This record gives sequence, structure tokens and C-alpha cells, in this order.
Amino acid sequence: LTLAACSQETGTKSSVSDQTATTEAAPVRWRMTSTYPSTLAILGSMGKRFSEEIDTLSNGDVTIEFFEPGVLAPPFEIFDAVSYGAIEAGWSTPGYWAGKVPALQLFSSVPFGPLAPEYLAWMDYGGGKELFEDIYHKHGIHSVICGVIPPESSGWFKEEIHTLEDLKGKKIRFFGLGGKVLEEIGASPQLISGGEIYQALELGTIDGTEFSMPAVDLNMGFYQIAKHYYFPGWHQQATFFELMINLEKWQTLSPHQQTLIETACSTNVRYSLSMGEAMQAEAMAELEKKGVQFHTWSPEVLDGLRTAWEKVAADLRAKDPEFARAWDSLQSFREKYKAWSDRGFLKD
Amino acid sequence: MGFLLKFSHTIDRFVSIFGKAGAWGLILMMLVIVADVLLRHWFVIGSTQLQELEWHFHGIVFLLGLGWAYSQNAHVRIELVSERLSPRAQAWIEVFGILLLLLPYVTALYLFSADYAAISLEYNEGSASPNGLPARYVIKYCIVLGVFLLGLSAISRLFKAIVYLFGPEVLAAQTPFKIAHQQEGAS
Amino acid sequence: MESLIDILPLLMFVVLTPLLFTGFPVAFILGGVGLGFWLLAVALGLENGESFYLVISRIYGGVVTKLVLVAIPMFIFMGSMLERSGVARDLLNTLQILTRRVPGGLALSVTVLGVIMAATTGIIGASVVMMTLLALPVMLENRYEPSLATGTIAAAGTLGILLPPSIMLVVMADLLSTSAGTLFMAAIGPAMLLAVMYMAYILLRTWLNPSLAPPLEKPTDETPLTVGLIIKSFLPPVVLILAVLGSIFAGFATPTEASGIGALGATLLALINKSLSLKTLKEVTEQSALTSTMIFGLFIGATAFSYVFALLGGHDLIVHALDSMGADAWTVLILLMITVFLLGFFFDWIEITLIILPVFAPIITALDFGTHVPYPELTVAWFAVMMAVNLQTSFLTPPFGFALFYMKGAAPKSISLGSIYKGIIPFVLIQLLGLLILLLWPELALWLPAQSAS
Ligand code: NA
Ligand code: NA
Repeated sequence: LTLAACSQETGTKSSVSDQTATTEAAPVRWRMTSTYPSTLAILGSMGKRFSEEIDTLSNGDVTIEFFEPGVLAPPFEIFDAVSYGAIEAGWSTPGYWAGKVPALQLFSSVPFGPLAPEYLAWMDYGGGKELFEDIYHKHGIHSVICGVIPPESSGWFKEEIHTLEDLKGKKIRFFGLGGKVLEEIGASPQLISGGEIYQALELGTIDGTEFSMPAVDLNMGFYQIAKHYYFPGWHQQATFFELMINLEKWQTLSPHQQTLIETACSTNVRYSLSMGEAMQAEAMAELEKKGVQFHTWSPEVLDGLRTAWEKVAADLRAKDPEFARAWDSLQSFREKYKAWSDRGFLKD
Repeated sequence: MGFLLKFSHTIDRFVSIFGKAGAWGLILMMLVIVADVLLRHWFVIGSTQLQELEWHFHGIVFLLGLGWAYSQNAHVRIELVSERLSPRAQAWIEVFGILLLLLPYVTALYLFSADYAAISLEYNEGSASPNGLPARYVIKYCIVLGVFLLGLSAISRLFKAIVYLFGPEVLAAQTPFKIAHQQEGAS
Repeated sequence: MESLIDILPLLMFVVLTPLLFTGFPVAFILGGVGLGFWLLAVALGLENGESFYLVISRIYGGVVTKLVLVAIPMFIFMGSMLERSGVARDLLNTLQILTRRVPGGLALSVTVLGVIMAATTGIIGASVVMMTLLALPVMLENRYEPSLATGTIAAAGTLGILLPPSIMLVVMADLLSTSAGTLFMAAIGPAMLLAVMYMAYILLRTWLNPSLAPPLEKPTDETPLTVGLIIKSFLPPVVLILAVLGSIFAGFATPTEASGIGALGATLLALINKSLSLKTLKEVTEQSALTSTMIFGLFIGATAFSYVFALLGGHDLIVHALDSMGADAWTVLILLMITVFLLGFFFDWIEITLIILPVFAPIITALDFGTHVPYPELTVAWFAVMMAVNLQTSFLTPPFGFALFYMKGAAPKSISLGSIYKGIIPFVLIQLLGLLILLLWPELALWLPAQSAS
């Protein structure tokens, strides 16, 4: 019942656009510009996978060619490019568009937020998707959740961190909502360009850096410098990846073509999750061989970060009505979900 | 013809005001960098805003300088072949280059950058990082302004070339085409 | 018609190359030709009428917001300030006196300066322009042959992209899914080899033909070489270099930020030297702004051009041409190296890595050279470093050697692009020789990373 009410409330706009879709549409030849290189495990490779999957599924009726970041559009310019219609599609994660639409951060990854199953549950059956489409349609974009990854690591530190006090004054390369939380507790989040992270860490310009999952971090070589690797990634327990499509272009598709795209994204979600879960252990064994020490944040540190996050979230909620709407939807879903998650799962 | 040349000089002065003002962005950039380094080292003050300010100044310097640099002839040319041509031929090349290459290019840049900046303003766009600077449209409008100034400079230089090619000797002598030739002859 | 559409990207170069030699500004020719072909594609129904918008996205996202590019205006400012305050001149003149018995002493000093600069930035525009401002006038004054002087500066100025920090190596590590740290270490040996080879060449050329780099005729009777003079001329720049390098290696500043510290340091030196007035400051600022604008004007034109090239399917065209190559490791390696070198005549490193690496990365990472590579797990690093040397060369190869354009923009007007083109040829040959040595002896690159891994 609740679900139906939810979609009635927020789904009007998207259903209108669905109706305008023509029944007989010409074959589609689109370009999709990516934020991540195809060689980057999951984050980029899943974009490439989608491009291949949709080609096979549609028997060549819908082709969406993958373009490496920078070949057509720079990695963080995709929102503008797709919205304007300069390019038909883009591969990215919604959080990158925080400067334009702060609420989209909640559809990418939330500090102390849900794991992938709960996050997907909110998107598909908790009103998340309707909100997501509603927000994007205002900006001429139709976006489809097209991948999700398991938790990221919490980052690399040169020295051990025992308490929240130890984090104070630390210069940490960090981006996004998590960076705001670090600032709140007195650490100094730094904006250091990709090419300089390694050396900045090596020379002590920064004390630590966040990056991605172990399988991705392994390739960055941070283990050569910083030996302390922290878990869990409180700032990113699950991260969504999206296929952005120019709204007008989306509306010219036949219902069949639209379904093909949604189906290809559904299989993509499944494989990004299974692959993400499958490949970390091996990477961690490899890192351990290289002398990396794994650490788990103490409950005290996590509590402190959580308190800071709650303050940051409240500030953002007060500042932006759209953020408030999405935040309230997610929070109310999570509160209800708790009755299930508290009892449904085995605990150690 | 005299009017064209006068107009051209007015444009040059106008464009140089922006270019020279933008140049001081270098000093500000330098000071911001040093301040950022000192604050981080001794006071551990979060400096995402300062670091973003650095590339704001970097953008301002070269965007506002685009037109000024053309009027100062600072943009690189491959003169391997053209230096053997007569000054008249060189002036004709400049006329065709401006009409067929530069002005269409600048027009396209102007139209698309105006849209680009307007969208940013409409969103009241800020940094993608929650601890960054607000008002991204300011630097995005610098692209529009810079391209506009380059367009003005192109028109100014076009007028000079026309004066040189078709105007009376007295006026032609005041254009860079003539002056450059005389300098070459002297050296 | 169909076939015309297929070769449109190649036609872009057919149109571009003769236009470049008209003497119209390169930046505007690149942009104008890019726009022209985009309009053609729109007229042919190949492109929508909105896609030129991405050129603005590329200007903003690829040039304006790139924090590392801040090093370009800052190092240019530093170079202009040192030149104007006479600090650089004092140093180089003293070096000239000190090395008067060594043929080409000044050129050798410039090469060493190039290596030092390389440790502070990976941005070619910054180091080439700074060294041109500092050293070229002094070398010309000392009647160095212009093409030897410009060749030395351009080649030494591009070493920065090989030695850490280097954004190029990081991008390559990303695309090849390998460690940036390992590539940093693997690049040190080859970069040093190249520097030594430049110096050997300079020594050989000037020893065979001393008139290329005339020694001081009169060991300047008026200013005899005293310890005082040496200290006076060496101390300020050495302090400055220590401040820049020191701030990086003490973990005080990132290399980008060190450029700002260098700029401020040079200004303070001028102040101490009593050669800083508001007028000088204004002149240095304006001159640096013009030179920076020249470089970024080129960036913008080049980004418009290469965008349209990619839009018209240029990348696919090159990849298809390479597709037919065999699977034998040596064939793949050598064909790729030749392709990268040839692409280097027309493209910059970003474009080349984006064409080659994403498509061929899976092939490259699977290459097996048996016992030729002493540390098989580092084969990818070996390949990457060879590619890096090759890409460094692309800055130097005419007609589209960006290092050569930067130099032309910063050099005295008397220096023609012709003599810059002429001067670079021997250095390009040295690059190829270096590449061959690296191909034959992978240890040169791999020894250092292998030590740190164990
Ligand atoms: Na470097
Ligand atoms: Na080249």
C-alpha cells in the first residue's frame, strides 16, 4: 500500500514521459561518455559491459558506444553535456553533480547509509526511483541506476589512528559528503589532483587518502607508502552508478527499447555487485603480502563520525528543500526497514 | 578609413584594460598558494576553498587575456613560409584567417559558452565538494567575456588589415603590418 | 560519399597542415578548422547541432579547473622575474666563466637545470617557457648557435614529464591498471639516461665545432672570477631552488604549490637585489600573463580540434588500422611504438594515450617477453616507460611539437621557428636511440622498482 501511494505521489512526471514514447522507433545509435576509464575495475568496466550487453540484447537495434573519459567530454562535465543534448548518454555516479543538484548525493552513496540490498530496496520499492527520476527530469535528463558496488575501504594512513583525536589535524585527501564530515571533526580534507596524490602521500603533504575498494586501491600503489589500511568505509557502504540519457532522446524510444535499456542495466547491477563482492578478498590477500596492516575503526571513532555526519546532514537538509525531500524519504524507509533487518539477519 | 583605424585603437584599449586587470590575478594566485601552504602546515585549516580559488585566478588570467594577447601579437604563429611573403600578402592572410577561421570559431565559442554559463547561473551552481566555493557561474562567465574580448580583438585587427590594404599611405603606415615590415627592413 | 565520411578525420589534417604555414596564429587555425569540420558534419547529418557545446565543457573541465595547470603561469612568472632582476643572468654568466674550459658549458648547465625543474613539475609548458626565459637570451648573447641553444632547452624542458611528479605517468598507470608509484620509479633511470645522452651530444658537437658554443675569448678582465662573485651569483638562485625543491620534499607543498612558492621567492630575490619597482612588477606580471595566455590559447584550440577529430571517428580509424597486427609480443610492442611515434607528429600525449591505451591495454598487460624482461611482473611498467619516452618525444617532433610552440612564444623575436625545428632534430634522434637502448635493456627502467618491491 505504501509503495503504491509513493509512486502515485511522485511518479506522475515519469509516467507522462513514458506515455509520450513512440511505439515505433528507429534504431538507436548513441554515444555514452564515461567518468571512469573502461580499464578501471567495476567503476569503469561496468560501463563498458553495459554497452556490450545492450548491443547483444537488442540485436544491434540499440547501440550505445562507450567513450573513455576526456575523449569527448571531461569526466565531470557529463551532467551539462547530457542535459544540453550535446551527447546522448553518460556513465557516472549521481554524487558528482552535487554542485548543481545537492540532493543527487543521496542517490550515489550516503555516509553511514544502507548496504546495497537495502539501498536497492529503497530505490525500487521505497519511492527512491520516483524521486530520482523526478529530480533528473527537471534538468532534461533521464537516469537509470545501472550498477552498484559493495563498501569501499576507509582509506590509507601513514600512521595508525586510534581515536577521533588522532584524526584531528590530519590532512586527508577526501571528496564529497565524507570530506564534509572530516572537516566537522577537525581534520583537513584536501583537494589534491589525481597525479599528485601518490607523491603528496609519500612526502607527507597529506597524511592519508581515501580511494576505493581494495581491488581498485591495489593498483594505485598506495601500499608502497602508507601501510595502514582502514575499514569499514563509513562514508560509502554502497555506491550507485548511473546511465544518464538526455530526456528528449529517452522519450523518442519505443517502450521496447526503453525496456531493453532498463533490462541491460538490471543485469549490470547484478554483475557489478557479484563481481565487487567476489574480487576484494584476493586483493586483500595480495595487499597483506605487501605488508599492509588492516585496521577496523573502533566503535568510539565510528560513533564520533556518525554524530558529525548527523550534524552535516541536518545542515544540508535545512539548506535545500529537494535534499530534505530525498533525505526524509530515505530515512523513513530505513526506519521501517529496521524492523526487518534487526530480526531477519543472523548476527555473529 | 581613419574612422576604422580609430575604432580599432579604441577596441585595443578596451580589450587591454581587461587583459591587464586579469594579469594581476597572477599576483593574487601566488599569494593564495602561499597562504594555503602556510595555513595547512601551521594551522591545519581546511583549504578546499583556497585551492579552488587558485584555479579561479588561473582561469581569469588567460581567459581575460585572450583578446589582449591577440592585439599584442602574442599568439604563436608558424612564420616559416609566410615571412617570405610580402606584407600585403600577409595582410590578406590575416583578413582571410579572421573571416574564415577566427570569427566563426569565436562566434561558436561565444554562443555555446553563453548557454553554458547561463545554465550554471540558473542552477546557482557551487562546488561539487561541500567544502568548496559557491558561485561557479562567475568563472564560467569569464569564458564568455574572454571569448567576447577575443572577438573584439579580431574585429580590431581586421580593420587594421583593411586600412593597410585599402587605405591611404598615411594611415596604412600606422598599422602593425606596415610597422612590422619596416622593423624587419631595418634589422 | 560513405568513404568520404570515413576519412573525414584524416581530411582534417590535410586541411590543417598547409593552413599552419600561412603564419596565422596556430591556436585560431586549430579552432577554426575544428569548427569547420564540425559544421560540415552537421551539414552532412552526421552530428547534432549541439555537440560543439562540449568544446566549452573541455575548456572549463580540461583547462580552467585543472589545478596542476596553475604551475604554468607561476613558473612563467618566476622565470620572468628572475630574468628581469638579473639573478638568472648573474648565475649563467658565472657558470659560463666557470665552465669556460668545457665545450658547451652553458648548454650542459641548462640540461642540469632541466633535470632540476623536472622534479618540480610535470607540466612541459611550465619548464620549457621558464628555461627559455632564463637561459636563451644569455646563450644567444654568448653567441651560441641558436638551433643548438633552442634544441637543448626544448629537450631538457620536456624531461619533466618523465620524472616524478608526472601527470602523464599517473594517467598511464590508471589506464594500464598498474601502480603509479612503480611507474614513477621505472621512469627515473631512462630520464637520467636521456639527460646524460643530451650532455654527451652537446660535448661531442661543441668539441668538434667550437664555434657552435664559443668559449669566452677574454675571461672578462673587469670581473675576475672570485669566490665572492661565485657566492654572490650562486647564492640567490640556489636558495630559491632549495626553497622550491625543499618545500616539496619536506612535504610542505605539492609540486603545483611549489610553483607559487618559487614565484614569491623570485619576487623577494628581486626585492633584495633592489631591482623590484612597481613598474617592474607590472611589466613582469603583464608579460607572464601574455605568455600564459599564448599557451592556454593553444590548449583551447587544440582541444576543439581533437574533440572534433574524435567526434568524427578519428580514434576508431587509427585503432582499425592497428587491428590487423599479429599477436606476437615483439610485433605488438614494436608496431605500437612506431604508431605512437608517428602519431606524435600531430597529436599531444593525452590524445595518443586515449587512442592507444584503453583499446590495447588488455593486449599490453598480457604481453610475454620470456627472459628478455628480468622481472616479468614489471613488463607493463617497462612498456609504459617506453611509451612515456615516446610521448615525451611527441612534444619535440615538428610540425606539432608543443614544446617548440611554447618556446617560440617565449623566445626573443629574432628566433625563428625554422631554427627551432632544425635544432630539435638531433635531440629527436637521441630520443629514438634512448628508446632503442630501453628496448634492449629493460633493466634500465626496471631495476629501481624491482629493488623497492623486494
Ligand atoms: Na616531473
Ligand atoms: Na609532435
